Amino acid sequence: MVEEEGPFTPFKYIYANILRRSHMSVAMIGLLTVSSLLLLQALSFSFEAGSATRPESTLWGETPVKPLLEEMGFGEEISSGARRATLGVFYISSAVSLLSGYILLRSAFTISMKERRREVELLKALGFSRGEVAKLLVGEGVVLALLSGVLALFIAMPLFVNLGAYMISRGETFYTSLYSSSS
Amino acid sequence: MKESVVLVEGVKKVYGSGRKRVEALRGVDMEVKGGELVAIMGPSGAGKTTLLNIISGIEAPTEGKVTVRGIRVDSLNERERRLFRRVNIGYVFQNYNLIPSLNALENVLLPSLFSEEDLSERAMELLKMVGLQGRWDHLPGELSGGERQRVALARALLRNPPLILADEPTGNIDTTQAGKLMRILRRIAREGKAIIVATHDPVVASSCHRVLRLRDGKMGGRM
Repeated sequence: MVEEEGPFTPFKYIYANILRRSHMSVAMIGLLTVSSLLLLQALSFSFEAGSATRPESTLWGETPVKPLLEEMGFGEEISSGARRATLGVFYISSAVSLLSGYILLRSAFTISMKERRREVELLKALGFSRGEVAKLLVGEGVVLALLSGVLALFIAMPLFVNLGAYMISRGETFYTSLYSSSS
Repeated sequence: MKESVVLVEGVKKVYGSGRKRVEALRGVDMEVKGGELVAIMGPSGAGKTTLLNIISGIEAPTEGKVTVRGIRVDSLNERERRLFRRVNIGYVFQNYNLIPSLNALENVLLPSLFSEEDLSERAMELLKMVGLQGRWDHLPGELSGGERQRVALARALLRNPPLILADEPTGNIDTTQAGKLMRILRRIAREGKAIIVATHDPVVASSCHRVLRLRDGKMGGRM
């Protein structure tokens, strides 16, 4: 008659919370995925910025990005003006991505915590310690973050490798003009 | 003679200081024995919730002694009070305080969350006792106010505590449902538990064994 066998464990509690509050879970996963994407973008930007001066040490190894960068002349001989301009663009984009990611993550957790305050108070009134309450909330956060992280990585991988290469190939005129005018 | 479960002696509770000083309780004395269903009646702001919170160890009194089954609650530290609460107190709140994502059975099982014990059989028995055995897999959103409060009562009984505290348990439910809840509380009292119900509803109070009146932080006679 009773579907749940065995004791009611923290794992069941987290599972029920994620599954039955599906609207909140989907919203959280969405927000976390977007923030993870932004953070990954910031990371990949800074790696690409690094690769502008050291094309042999790219994040993606033998991806289309590396030969493209080499073809475009981003080697040791690149001019300091062009390098600085390129790095500047990369760093500003990274900073913007990091900031947006941070703001999104913060708002996601604030919304979720406001909704859960009564739940935390109840658990404390029932005699659970702060550590036990934290275990439940952090456990749920970790599960959601892992799901979002994996999702973001799957979206980000092809996006940044292929789209990045495409964008750089399209931007050839911009970079070459920079390169030729400053040399 | 029945055993004394709760003994409150000269309990005072003061919030704030200076001009913002509020005396919530000004020397309260009371005793509740096992098997008794006692109502604490008084208008809102009389100090009913404060008194229940002090008995359960959620708050500490400014002055006075609180003894529950021989344990001096007022002299326990925070950790000891928490463990004391787990074993000795079942709390029923006015707004049910059920977790919306857990079904009735899981809500009843909530106090056993970090223990290895499998109390699902007992939880099902309790749901049966409050007349909700067929609704164990319903979420709180699918239950009426009265049914939610009965789930909350079953949750309070899970660990078989000797003392049940109910803060305005009928505040949000209709009179038929309130009558049902009070009948269940009387039955639980007959089994030997001490039950304290804070209420401002005279109908609820009249179905208790004894009524204590709390006004402006002081006990004002019996009925």
